[in-house]
Amino acid sequence: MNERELLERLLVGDAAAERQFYDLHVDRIYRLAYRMTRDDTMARDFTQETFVRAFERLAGFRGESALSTWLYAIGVSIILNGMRKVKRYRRHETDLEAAEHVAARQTGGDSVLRLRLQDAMDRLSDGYRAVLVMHDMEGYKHDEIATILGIPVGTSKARLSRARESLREDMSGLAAEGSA
Amino acid sequence: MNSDEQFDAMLDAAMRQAGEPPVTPREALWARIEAERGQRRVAALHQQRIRRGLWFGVAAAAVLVIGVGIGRFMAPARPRLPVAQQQHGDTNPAYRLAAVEHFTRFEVLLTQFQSDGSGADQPGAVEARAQQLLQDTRLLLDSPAAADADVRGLLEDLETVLVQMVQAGSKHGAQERQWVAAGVNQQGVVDRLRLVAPISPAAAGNRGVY
Repeated sequence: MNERELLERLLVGDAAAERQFYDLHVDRIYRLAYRMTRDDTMARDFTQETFVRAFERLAGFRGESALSTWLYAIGVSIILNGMRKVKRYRRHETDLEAAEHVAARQTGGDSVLRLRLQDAMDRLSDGYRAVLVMHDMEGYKHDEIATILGIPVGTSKARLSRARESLREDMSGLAAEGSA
Repeated sequence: MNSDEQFDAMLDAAMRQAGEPPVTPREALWARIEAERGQRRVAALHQQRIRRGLWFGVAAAAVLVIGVGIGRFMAPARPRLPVAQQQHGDTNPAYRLAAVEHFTRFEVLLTQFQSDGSGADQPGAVEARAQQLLQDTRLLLDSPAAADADVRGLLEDLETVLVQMVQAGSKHGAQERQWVAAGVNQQGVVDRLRLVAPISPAAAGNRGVY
């Protein structure tokens, strides 16, 4: 079944088509949500909301992009908005996380690298982090990222470059420690 | 490979490993999505019903307002009366009060007349009061107090009764008094008096005038 046929069946509320649509895309949505939040509960919530909203808004889909791209755009919007809402809550947990990091640093090099990377990524703004996660972690192409985030391709590339540079700066101390 | 390239390679490797998501809980997520959609459908239906109910209410109110408007537009025009005349059947409150007091005085006189006719009073006292009330009745009939159809009808009946009382009183005959009392009962004068001039503390006070 091609995308047009799938869309036609979705528009008439075909339950089998809805399940097929879900099966095709749920992995990418869930993975992206998890990578962005590093939290299974939030990733499930955001995935659920993405599909519920997509099914509600299917009638408004105008076919200007691929159905999958349209779905991911909804997903990224929900993830970024959801993360903004939980940021305040997250700040309260910072002290606890910092204490955990101190303990982890004493366990080994890989853990230290992973935690430093997480810290550095947390310091990135949502827009930069989304591009970094989508491109470097989930393998999205720049034109796809640009469509999903509603930005020019050049902006997507620039954000990735700056995000990497920021990580490099944040982790330069670790590289120096490793070479010493 | 220089140090920057080495660092980038290390970073890439770390990023690939960092936060690797668990296996997607497909069935659990699908169940949640179905449940959420069901809840939202029910909520949407509920809201739709509320909206329909509101519209029905608004439409009913609009029909009512339009109906009243049409009714007023179609009704024949009535001349506007002064506010004082619009109250209590177009009767001025002062005249109505005078009429009510008059009826109270009549009731007291009627009670005395039916019981004895002489009592503790001097001979001719009841006749004199009946004569006075007859004059007052006629004055009230010519006043705006008689604009009220009920009051006017009652005053006219009182006039008749009072004429009989004056005549009967002059003869002081028990038979005459009984005829007058029977006429009063037949016309239901007392009942109508109490309807138009109900007993009130003020009225009760007036009963002791005579």
